[in-house]
Amino acid sequence: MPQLAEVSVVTSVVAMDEMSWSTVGGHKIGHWFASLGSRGRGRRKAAAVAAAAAAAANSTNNGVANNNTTRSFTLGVLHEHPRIGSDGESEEVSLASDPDVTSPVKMRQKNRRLSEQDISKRLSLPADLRIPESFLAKQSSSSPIFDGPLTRTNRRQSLSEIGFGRMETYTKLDKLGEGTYATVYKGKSRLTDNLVALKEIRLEHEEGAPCTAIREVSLLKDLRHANIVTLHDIVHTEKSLTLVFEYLEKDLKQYMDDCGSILSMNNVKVFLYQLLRGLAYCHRRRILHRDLKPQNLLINDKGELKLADFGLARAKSVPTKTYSNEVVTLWYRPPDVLLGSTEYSTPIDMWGVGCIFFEMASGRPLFPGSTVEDQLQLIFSLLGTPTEETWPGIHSNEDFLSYRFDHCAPQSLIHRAPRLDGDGLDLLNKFLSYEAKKRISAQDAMRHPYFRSLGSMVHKIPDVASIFTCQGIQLTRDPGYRPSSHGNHSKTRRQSMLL
Amino acid sequence: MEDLFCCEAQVDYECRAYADPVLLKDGRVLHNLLSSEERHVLSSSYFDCVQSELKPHMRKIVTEWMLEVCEEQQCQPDVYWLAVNYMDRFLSVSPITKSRLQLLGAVCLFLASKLKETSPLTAEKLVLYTDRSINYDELWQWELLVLSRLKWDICSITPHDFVDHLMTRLDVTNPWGPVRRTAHGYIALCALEYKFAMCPPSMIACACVVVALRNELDPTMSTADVTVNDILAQLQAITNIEIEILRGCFEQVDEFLRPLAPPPTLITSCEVASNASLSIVSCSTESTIPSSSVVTITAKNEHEKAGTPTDVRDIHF
Repeated sequence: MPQLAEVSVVTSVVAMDEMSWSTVGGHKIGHWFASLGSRGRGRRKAAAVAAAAAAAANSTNNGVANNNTTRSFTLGVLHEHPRIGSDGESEEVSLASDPDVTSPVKMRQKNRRLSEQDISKRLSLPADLRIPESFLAKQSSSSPIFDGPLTRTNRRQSLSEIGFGRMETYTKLDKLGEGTYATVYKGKSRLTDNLVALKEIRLEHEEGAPCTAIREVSLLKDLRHANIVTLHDIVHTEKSLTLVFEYLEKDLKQYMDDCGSILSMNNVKVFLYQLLRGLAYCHRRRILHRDLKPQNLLINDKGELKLADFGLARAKSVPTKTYSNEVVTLWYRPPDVLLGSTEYSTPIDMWGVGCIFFEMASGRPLFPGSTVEDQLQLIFSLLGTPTEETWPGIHSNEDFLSYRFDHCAPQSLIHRAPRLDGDGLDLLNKFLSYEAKKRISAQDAMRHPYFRSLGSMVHKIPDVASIFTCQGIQLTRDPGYRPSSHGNHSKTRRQSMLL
Repeated sequence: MEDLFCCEAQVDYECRAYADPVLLKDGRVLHNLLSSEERHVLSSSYFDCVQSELKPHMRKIVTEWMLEVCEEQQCQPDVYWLAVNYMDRFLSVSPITKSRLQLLGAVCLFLASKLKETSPLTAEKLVLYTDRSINYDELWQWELLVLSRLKWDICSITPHDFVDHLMTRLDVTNPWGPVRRTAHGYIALCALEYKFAMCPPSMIACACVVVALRNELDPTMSTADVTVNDILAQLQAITNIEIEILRGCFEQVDEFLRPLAPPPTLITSCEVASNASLSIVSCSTESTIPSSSVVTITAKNEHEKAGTPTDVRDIHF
């Protein structure tokens, strides 16, 4: 069993802080990232509860139960508070729960029904969240969040008591991947029992919090869209920063692998539309993704596709000279950027969309180059070596001239992607325009005739609604689908057959 | 005036910015900006209700120091505005002692440059700029503290974000000309003034654009002149901000800028050509000016009138 990350919450940060550290951030579904300072220090040992066994390995046993009456059966183990050294502010929470012990059980049950909804509403919590018994109990006896207007401090404290922003709220399961600055784990939220992805960012860097993390968090916080991965929570400890994301089963790369790279053409359309939808939303908030690739597009079992990994994204701004070209994975990088252009904007993402579209439709990456020159060569041999006509100004580009590419005539894309219909090919060509400014925008692409078969309702659904809420849009069985090796074969197969 | 011009020797042709119609022509982008800007504006004065030890003149000192750092490090201009915004927002929730103010300023610069710059300010540089009055540990710890207090909500909208949107929508002959750059410079100066921290960024942007246009056209024009009224009316149509409010803000900004940035000698807030840093602020910039002709103008002859201890008139981001 994987060990829970060391919960060394609260650190010298608190000690040096002149004020009480109880106020911390919030976002998206309205949760607050934790007060690091946790309340209730070691007042009682956690009562031995059967459910505790599940998490026993994680339990550090210096925890406390806020409430020793009805233990939360939804949460398994409740609140192992790390023992906090310097932060003496938080006794009150535990004290507040005491009156419950004596209150009649029946009445509390009744009250709880009511107040669970009320509390959820009051604190703007997601519907699937189970509020810990202890918290409900406390609220029914003395209810700071219902007495008078909800202050920021109250809300913050309440959310933290529920468990947001605390590492012990999340159980770490398998490791999903490791990057240069972060490790991603599959995990489980004890609040909702839902799976989550835990992106753990190490903070040992001498420059403090990595820019990528700062950008990713601050950008994602503002993005609320069905096709953008949801950031649920942030937990920071002395040594690491953990971003809690919704969990999606696969990325597009795995999805394509699992169906032998033969996707149903309906699914190609449905995925592409969702990609464009997410991207159009980012672009109108002046955010470029800049690192589109199948590995960054996550797909759940419903077929919902979501953009992830905003570490390279940033609020739209025109790049500087030092803006490195090392931004987009080579295969999905537009030729203007490959040729040293730093003046990129939204079209940088659209070229990548074209490459991904082709890859879904044909089963092969469009331009799998290994070096910049190779990459350009692959592009030119398919789309034709650019001329002043197809790319005004190209002959004054020094990089381009220095490579001395042979002249190639453009090939027709239909031979490379025979499964695409006329509209599909037309759209693909519009993504792959040499001139960045002529590349079709995400917003316009969604209106392209290729998507006509999705119906007109699809343009009218709210940002946060999945496109599968539109009648007639559904995932179909992928011709090449082979059940993957791990579990639930029958379920998947049945599902596929039904669809 | 000629002696004020100095041509940039080194030109980086790659730094031309360009107008991305996807961003500039789409009314929703401006709408999104206008609808979310309020979130990051101070609602009340923290000197009155939060801080006990800090006084307004201390904010002035630290913002001037921050501007100097940004100038010397040629930060992108919105880095400066953002940093000041973080500082103000932090101060409006957390009382601190005055001995921590510079540390806070440094941390805010650290964060803003991490968000915006390709090569952010390093911890080492910031420590040096404070003459080692802060140390690395403090910087790192306060970084997390500030992030938490601001709830990681650090993609604040700045007046710089509005300039191109306004310029492309205004009926002006050359939206990418010097006016744009001048407006960016004025905006930076406005961050020095505490009262402007309570104005929505769009209003500051409008006011700075009007002052820049006015100074470009005819510096002697008064606020009552037809042209100024006309520009204000256009801005009212673009932003839906009431014209009287716009005018009020314009007058205040104009008055504030007068001693700092006298109209005839424009502040050119950047050497656009050499580092493209200023153009970064905006979503786009069809630079119609050949890069080589971009000049740096300093307000040398007005030096004596300096209203502030630091020489904020020639800002070179």
